[in-house]
Amino acid sequence: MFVMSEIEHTLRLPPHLLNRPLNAAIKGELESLFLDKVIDKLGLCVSVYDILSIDGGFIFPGDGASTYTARFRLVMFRPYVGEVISARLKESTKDGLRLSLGFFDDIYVPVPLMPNPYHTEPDPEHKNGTRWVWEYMGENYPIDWADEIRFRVHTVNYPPLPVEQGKDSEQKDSEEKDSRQKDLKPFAPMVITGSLDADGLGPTAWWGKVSKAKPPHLCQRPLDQAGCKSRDVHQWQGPKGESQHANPQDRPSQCFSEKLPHTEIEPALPDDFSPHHLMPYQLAYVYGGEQS
Amino acid sequence: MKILQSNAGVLTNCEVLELLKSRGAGKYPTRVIAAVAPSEFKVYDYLEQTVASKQTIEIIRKFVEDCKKYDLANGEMLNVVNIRPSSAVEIDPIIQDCDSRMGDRIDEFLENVVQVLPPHPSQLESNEDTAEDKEETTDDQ
Repeated sequence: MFVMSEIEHTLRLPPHLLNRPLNAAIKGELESLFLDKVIDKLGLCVSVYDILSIDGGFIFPGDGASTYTARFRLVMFRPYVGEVISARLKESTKDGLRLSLGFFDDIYVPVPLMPNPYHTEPDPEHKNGTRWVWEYMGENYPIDWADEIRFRVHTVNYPPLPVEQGKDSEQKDSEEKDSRQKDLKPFAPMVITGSLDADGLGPTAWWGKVSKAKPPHLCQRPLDQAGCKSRDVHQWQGPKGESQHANPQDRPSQCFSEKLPHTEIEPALPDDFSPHHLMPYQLAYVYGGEQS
Repeated sequence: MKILQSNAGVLTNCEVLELLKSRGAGKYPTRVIAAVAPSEFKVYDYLEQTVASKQTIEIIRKFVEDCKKYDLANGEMLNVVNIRPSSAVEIDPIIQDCDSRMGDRIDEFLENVVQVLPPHPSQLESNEDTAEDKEETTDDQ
């Protein structure tokens, strides 16, 4: 979840900080520069861990301040793909869940990654809200607001900064309206897609209940009972009857390699990636009348 | 800005919490004048709610030493320490191919986790439940 990153940065030290010790002054500047900010592909900066070296102190001609080059380590929040993290519910709508860690709010659980099979019902406590309910062995397990929710990191995306493009005025107007309707969400520089669709994920209270009924390691989800050994090698019968992605290696969603995942920055997903590229057999649930 | 090393080391939740505490983060009302940024306080608040609040570096060292024999990847070990699963079904999503790799040793591993890592106050109740479950299953056999 938290990783250290080593960074070198050249910064200008304003003269009003010269009365402070150099280390403290530079640390203060670095904190104002990096803290609570997302660095592309590195994650959200949580804290300055330490300063390794400070070089320079050169005053450029015409500048009233000294310029230093500092090497330092930052504590970054960068979960690796496959990590299990506990979070709290922030929003629950028909498009899925939004979870929050308190310091990081852009965690989304889209519909295809919900525990399956599920149904939705209007939330009695929140107006316009939706409550997601997992159906298991004829029992209903709702995702409610009280519990801690465990999710597995499915992807971590760093969307590029939106750039306004100059276009013809008429086109622009109509497009602006469209885009306003489409995404009302403010821009988020780092978005985590979480998955709840595996044993042991979801509200922690679920697994207390289930394990009471059965020894936990024997808990089998309905899909597993259909005769497949593991969820990942489950064969989806395509529309023509051919099995697609029978081999786990072919699956686009298998980002979890044998290598230790957090040793590298996750590879970027293809541009045309969408949540619907995920597990094909789940789409069968979505289109099969679950969401009519 | 130049990124020299994107991954210069992995920190457990407990280590981050200790770091923030050493900076002066704590549960007192005078947060405004502390030398800790508001964003750091948010992280502190989150970590204080997790099991990391009860862990110490020594406990984690001991746990990692004890669990070397299970041949887990570092990431999995880190995740187990951060989450502290209290039942086998909670371990399942953390460890890849849990069934084939752990097999029957999962109960032994779970016992290790439960004994070495201190529980969260809210987990105490559920622990008793799982203990009861175990007794029941042994009775059945």
